[in-house]
Amino acid sequence: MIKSIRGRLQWWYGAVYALSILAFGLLVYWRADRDAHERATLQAVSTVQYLDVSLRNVPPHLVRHTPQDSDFGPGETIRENYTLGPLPPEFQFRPPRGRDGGPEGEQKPRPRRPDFAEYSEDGQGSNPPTQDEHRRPPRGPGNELLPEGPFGDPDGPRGNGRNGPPEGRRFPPEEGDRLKAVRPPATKGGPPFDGDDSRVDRMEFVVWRGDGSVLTRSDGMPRDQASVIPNIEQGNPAPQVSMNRGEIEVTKRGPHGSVIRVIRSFDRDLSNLHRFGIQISGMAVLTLVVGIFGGWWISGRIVHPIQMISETAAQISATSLNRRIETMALDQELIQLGTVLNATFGRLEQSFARLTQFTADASHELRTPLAVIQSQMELALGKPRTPEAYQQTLEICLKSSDRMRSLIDGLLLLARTDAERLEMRPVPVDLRDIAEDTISQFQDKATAAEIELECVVSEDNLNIMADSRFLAQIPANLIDNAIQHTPAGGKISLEVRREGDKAVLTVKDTGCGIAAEHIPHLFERFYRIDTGRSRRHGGSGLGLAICRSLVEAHNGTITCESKPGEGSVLKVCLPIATDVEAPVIEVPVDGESHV
Amino acid sequence: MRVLVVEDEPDLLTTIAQVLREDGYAVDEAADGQEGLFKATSWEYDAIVLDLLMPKLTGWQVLETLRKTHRTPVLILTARDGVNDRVRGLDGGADDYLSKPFHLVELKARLRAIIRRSVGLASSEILIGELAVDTKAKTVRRGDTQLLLTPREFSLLELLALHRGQVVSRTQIYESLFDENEDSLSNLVDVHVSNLRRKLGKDFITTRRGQGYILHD
Repeated sequence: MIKSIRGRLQWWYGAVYALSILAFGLLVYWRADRDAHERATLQAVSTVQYLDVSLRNVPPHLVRHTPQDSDFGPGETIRENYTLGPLPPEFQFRPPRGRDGGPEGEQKPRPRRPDFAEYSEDGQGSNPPTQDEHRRPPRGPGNELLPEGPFGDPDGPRGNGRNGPPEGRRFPPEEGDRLKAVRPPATKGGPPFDGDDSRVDRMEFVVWRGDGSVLTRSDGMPRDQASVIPNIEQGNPAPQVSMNRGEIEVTKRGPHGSVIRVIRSFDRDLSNLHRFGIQISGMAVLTLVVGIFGGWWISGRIVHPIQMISETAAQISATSLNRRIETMALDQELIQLGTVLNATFGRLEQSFARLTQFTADASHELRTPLAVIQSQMELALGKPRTPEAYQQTLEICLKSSDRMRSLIDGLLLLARTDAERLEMRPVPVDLRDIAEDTISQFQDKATAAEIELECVVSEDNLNIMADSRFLAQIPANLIDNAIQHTPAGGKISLEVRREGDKAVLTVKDTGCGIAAEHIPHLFERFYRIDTGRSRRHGGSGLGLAICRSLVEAHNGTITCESKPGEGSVLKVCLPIATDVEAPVIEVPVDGESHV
Repeated sequence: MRVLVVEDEPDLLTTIAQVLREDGYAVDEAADGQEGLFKATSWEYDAIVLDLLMPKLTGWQVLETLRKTHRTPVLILTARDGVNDRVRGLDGGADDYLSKPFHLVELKARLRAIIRRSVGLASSEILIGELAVDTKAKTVRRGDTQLLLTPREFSLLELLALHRGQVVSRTQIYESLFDENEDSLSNLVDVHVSNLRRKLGKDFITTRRGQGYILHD
């Protein structure tokens, strides 16, 4: 099965059109037999009818009896004298001009549509006028011919019995009359017959008199046909149609006991139709080829932008995430796809960038104390030192390793909250207890930094479902942070209160404050307000990020409000547990609770 | 040799400064980028050890400003060890790059290398006639005999040897031998020069009156 859009389009374009044309061709081929047969029958029957009507204009005694030589002038034959008139246009078909008549036809100054009625033995179109003088009028009553018009006066012979020619006309007719009679009217429109009859079928006719002799026949009529008068049922005026070997044979009893037979072959008609069907089928093959290439071209135009998108997407890797699909070059329908993909790439790039930044930051934060430890050790071991120097080295190393430990603890905690594997055991905890414990924990540090530490606790019950090990880290980190950023003489106040269904904990300091553009990034890991964060402040750069992770783990929110120079307010909102009346478990505050 | 160390981690700054001093360098310390840039543009240093992530001014900014006026060799010493950071540092005008954590011996070797390259020497051993000055081992040999020099005397000899054929002014010698914390006396240079002459030979160092000293081949 073709899996590609392009292939499918290609085959649809080619195959659907080609199949429809092929079907048409096959239909023509299949129907050719019937069509040719119908057409031949129709023509043959029409011709028989026409002959039948025309024979009514022939003097009955000529039809009834074998004409004697004395009936005609020397060299005359019945056909030369008594034409049946030209075929009306609806019966026009090309008579076989015979292999012998062809060349002479070409010699004629102007090709014309010949008429079987003027057909003569010697191939000439009309009788020479010189024969007129030998003509004698036929004898007997009702022998007048109506030379004018194809049918003459149809009522003439049967009507009022006045079958004579119109007044002023002689019989036999004048040359001009005869010519009028035998020459068909010029064909209107269309090219004249070009004389090439190799592609047309033959139509032959024979008329027998009642006594079995041949009144007239066409040249091509087989001799054996002309010599056998068919046994036609008396009184059956309907034409009898029979078919044998590519021929339609129509026989009808004509006037005055005559029998008319027309043989119309349809071999060439059939083969023409067959050829036409085959040509159409051939066109189908051509269309298939054109369709395949056209489909290839059109589908190529459709598929190209998709390929472009996939090529661009394929080129986007971890090292080239900044590449984007050029949506300007796309079609309307694909712009949306391209835009969505670009947005996805954008997010991917951002998250990769954050990851890279985080890795670089974490690595930087770990390498710096490691570098201190390593260089201190190397310096101490470089040559013999005093015991005080060794002690100092060890102190520095201990400080650095403490820093590394707290950093690793923070990273592990963040990793666990990221993976939601914090293993929290939430119990009802009163936020006021946590706040008071934190204040007492940091009182000494604040005093050492000459900072006033204040705790404002509301009267409300502030029971929340929390794991106190993690919950206690939130105010601890916030106060630790505040002490680091508040100059001596400043004030830090920790307040817990109730706001609606939230327990709110705020830490307010009188420190240097944070510029507005930094606040959205404040809770990002290792985010630095100053690119090179001062070592004086210590800290791992993870404190606020840990706070946010822990607050979110407790379904709370943390926000920051700050004005540079006036200090900052960090606000933590946690949902109050409504179904708990009072704290059931005493909150343990141990050394692990602080990172 | 006078070296400036710019590093915001106080413990590391002290350690590096101490180990370089023990190696005979005159070492100035700067705790942030701003101070580092000020010192780097105020005095002539033989080399600068520069951290990248520092308060006030980053190492890249210091380097960019410094390179507009000074060709002082700079060794970047940082915990940022990404390829991009290194490339950015080196393209920004740094001569070498060392990432933390590091070995002090490597830091010293790289410092020697950038100082040596800055004066156009290929080897750590400078030959002056029969005298071989080994800047790595900090020793001086005449033939097979080892000459005993004090660190200051060696630094002076190294300075003159590195600028062989050029007049080295007294100010240059002062700035190279003594760091910012030393309240050096004006005749201290003369004392070291006369000591060197006593140990190496009287005509070894030529005095250019009013100009300074020169070491001929």
